[in-house]
Parts: sequence; C-alpha cells; structure tokens
Amino acid sequence: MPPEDIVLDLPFLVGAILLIGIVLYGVTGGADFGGGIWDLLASGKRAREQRLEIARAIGPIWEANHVWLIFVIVLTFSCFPPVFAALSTALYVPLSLILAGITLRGGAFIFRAYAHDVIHAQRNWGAVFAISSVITPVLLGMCAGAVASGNIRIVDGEVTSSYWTTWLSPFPIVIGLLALTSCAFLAAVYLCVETTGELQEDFRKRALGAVVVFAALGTVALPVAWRDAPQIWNGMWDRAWPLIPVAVGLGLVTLAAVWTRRFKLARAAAIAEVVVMIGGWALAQYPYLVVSDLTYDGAAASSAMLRVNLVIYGLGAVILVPSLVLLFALFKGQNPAMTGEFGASTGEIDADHRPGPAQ
Amino acid sequence: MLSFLAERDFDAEVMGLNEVPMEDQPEPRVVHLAFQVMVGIGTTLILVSLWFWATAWRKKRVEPNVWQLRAQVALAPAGFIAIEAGWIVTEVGRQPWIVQGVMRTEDAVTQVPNQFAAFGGFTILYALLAVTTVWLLRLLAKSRPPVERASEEAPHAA
Repeated sequence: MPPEDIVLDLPFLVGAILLIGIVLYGVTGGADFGGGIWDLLASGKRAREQRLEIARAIGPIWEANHVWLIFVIVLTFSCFPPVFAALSTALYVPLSLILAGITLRGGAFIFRAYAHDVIHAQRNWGAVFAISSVITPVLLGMCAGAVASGNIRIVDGEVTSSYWTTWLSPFPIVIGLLALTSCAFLAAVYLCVETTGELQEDFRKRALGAVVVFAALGTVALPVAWRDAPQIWNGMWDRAWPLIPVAVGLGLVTLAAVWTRRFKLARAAAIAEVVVMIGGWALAQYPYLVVSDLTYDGAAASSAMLRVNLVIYGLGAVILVPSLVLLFALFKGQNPAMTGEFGASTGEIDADHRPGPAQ
Repeated sequence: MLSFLAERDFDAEVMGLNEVPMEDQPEPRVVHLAFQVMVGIGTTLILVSLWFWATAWRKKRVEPNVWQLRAQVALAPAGFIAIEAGWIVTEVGRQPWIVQGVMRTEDAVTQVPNQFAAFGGFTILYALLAVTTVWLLRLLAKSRPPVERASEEAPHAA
C-alpha cells in the first residue's frame, strides 16, 4: 500500500506518456516521411543514388517506426475516450486521407522494390510513395493545428464544428507545412550521418535548406497563431515562453553543426529541436487535449482503466524497447544485409541488373 | 458440456435464443452458416493432418502421395476462410450490441455523413493493393528460385 499523502495524478501521467508517444513518432516516423520527401525531390546527377540511399536507410525500420502512431491512437482510445470520439468525428476527412496515405505509402514502398528493372510501370510506385510521403505529414500537421486552434467544438459529446473549415484554415495549414518541413529537415540530417562522400554533400545541402525553411515557417506560425489560435498564443506566453529561445538556439546549433560537418551533433540538436517543438505545443495548450472543450483531466477514463493501461505499457515496454534497440543497432550501422535495390533484400528479378564486381 | 463452455460451470443452465427478447436477437441464419463453415473447415484440416501423419507413420518416412499433396494445395486458403467465418460468428452473433448490454451498434455509429463513400473508397484502395500483391507474387514465383541462383553465384563469390 502506498502512503495516502502521495497523490498520484494518473490522468497527468498517462497524458505525459501520450506526449512521449507523439514525440517518438515525430522523431522516427517523421524522418520516414522525410525520406519520401527527399525521394520526390531527388535531383542532380546522383538522383538515383539518393533514392537508393533513402530506401536503404528506411527500408528495415519504417514499419517499426509507425508503432508509435498506433500506440498514440490506442492510448487515446482507451485512456481519453471523449478525445478519441471528438477527433475521429471532427477530423474524419483528414484522418481518412492520412489512413489512405499511410496505406499507399507502405504498399508502394514494398511494391516498387520488385521488378522495377523489368516492368517499367513498377516505377510509378516510386511516385506514389513519394507523393503520399509529402501529403500525409502535411495532413497530420493540419490535424495537430486543428486540435490546437480551438476550431473543434464539442457540445454534449457531439461535434458541432464543420468537417472542413476546422482543418482547412490558415493556422492548421501553416502547422501542416511546418510538420512537413520538420520531417524533411530530420531526414536530411539523419541521412548526412549515414552517408559519405558526394552523397553526404548532397544531403548536407538539403539539410541546410530545410533548416532555413523550417525556421522561416516557425516564424510565420507566430503571427498566425496570434490571430487564429488565441489560446495557444496566450498559453505560450504564460508558460511555454522559455522554450522559444531554446528552440531558436537549437535551430542555430543544428545549422552551425551541419555547416561545419559535425553531423552527429547536428542529429542530436535536430532531435532536440523537434522534442522542444512538440513539447512546447503540449505546454502551451495545457491542460487541454482538445482546445477548448476537453482537458486531460476531464476527458480521462476511470482511474481503474488508467492503472490497467499503465501496467500494460510497462510490460509492453519491456518487450518493445529492447526489440527496437536491437533493430536500430542491427540496421543503422553499415547494414550489409541490404544489398538489394530499393530495400529488397532478396531481389530475384533484378539480380542480373545489380551492379557489382562479379559481372 | 455446453454449460461449462458458456458459463464455466457444468451445472449452469444455457439460455436458448428464444428466451432472448426479439429486439435483442442477432440474425441466426448468418451466425449458423458461418459457425458451420468454421467448424467444418477446422475438422477437415485436423482429419487431413491425421491422414498425412498416419501415412508417414505407416511408411516410416514423410512421403505424401499425390492426393495428399492435392488436398494440401486445395486447403491452402481454408485456414483464412475459417478465421473470417469465425469473425462473422462473433461480430454478427453479438448484434444488436456493440458492447454487450451497454451500447447498441446503432448508438455507436459516427455522426459523420457519407459513410458509404468512405467505405467504397477504402474498399477500392484495398482491392487495388490486393490485386497488385497477387500479380507481383505470381511474377516472383515465375522468376528463378533463389536456391538455384545461389548455387550459380557461389563460384563468383569464392
């Protein structure tokens, strides 16, 4: 029996775990989307090498990274059911498009790995992969923007706001573009660490460009938030303001580290930047999960339910965390197993076309 | 026996469908047919496995005859069909409740309109992915098997 004077704020604890899930999805899944963005923007005389490197880098891990999205959805569903109900209703249109985007992206990524040298039509899957990698993070960002904007209104458990204007308005759109850029920026910095030579220089230039666009969009978001998301704006100046200089500082550290080719430092700073960005969002809209009708406390399930969930996450983490560590340790090194093109580890059909000393 | 399966108690009384009020009854024909499909396939799979191992035990080695191989090929999709049928048993069998005794399915449906458009869209998407998967798998199956290629490549690798 725990002493009674220790009051554990269960909804707060579960809310914090939810935030950790979102942050982990941002820094892992976000980079997957970013890989697709750079696949779309591959250019110059090494465009093909860039695409192959992106596929090699994300091939073994992209499905594992999306475990965090599932985690966030299941946690919201079981611990904050009114939030799940409100968001799946109010954001029905963008969430359906996100589901279609994630499905198409995953399917296309696998499909294009096979027979692309034999059947020309297979190359179209590359375009499907790239385009859905761009649209999906924009929509995810727009959903986050809609949640923060206060556009979603709930009266007696029924969503009363529009199915369209809640997310198709200036603030969600800016946040969508910010999400897209942060994916591109993370992926470019990660790819700098994982490449060498000319390819590394290609991704270095892309990382520099992405950091600048990211900073510009972050600056644009401020006046738009002041106009369209007043509660976030006030919350930011009340509580989250110390994070603004931190975010600016981390952005400058990333920029300087990429510029001076200290890519591991750049990767650490880039991850910290995204953590601060998402953490700042959470802090600015505290105590709301959906501004301005649902708080983490008011929307929480019964404490028995929260306790069961905490135990399950604890047990799940014992299995999941070592598995993910092993996965990344195996495939984020030199990755000798992935010799097939576009992430195909046993590409039978394109075997004869594979460049190598044996031929 | 059924008493134990349903209520964890050999002396429990199993309530018949006719004792459930009419408005709380599921559609019995669908559940009945799906249950028969599930149990029928499960029993067939067990019998075919027993036939296979009985032959192997009698011959003292694993050497299935051509009819056993044909049966295995024919039954390849059976496990999936049985799973789907079992799913229909539980999902149709619990209607009209979505949470037994707590919430009815009609009360749980989203307020978002145009559900048929979304359903149709996702059906088309998954059909497209299924067709592509089958087409690609057939293409890969027709290409040279990796074992053969590995033995050809071995001298180069050495």
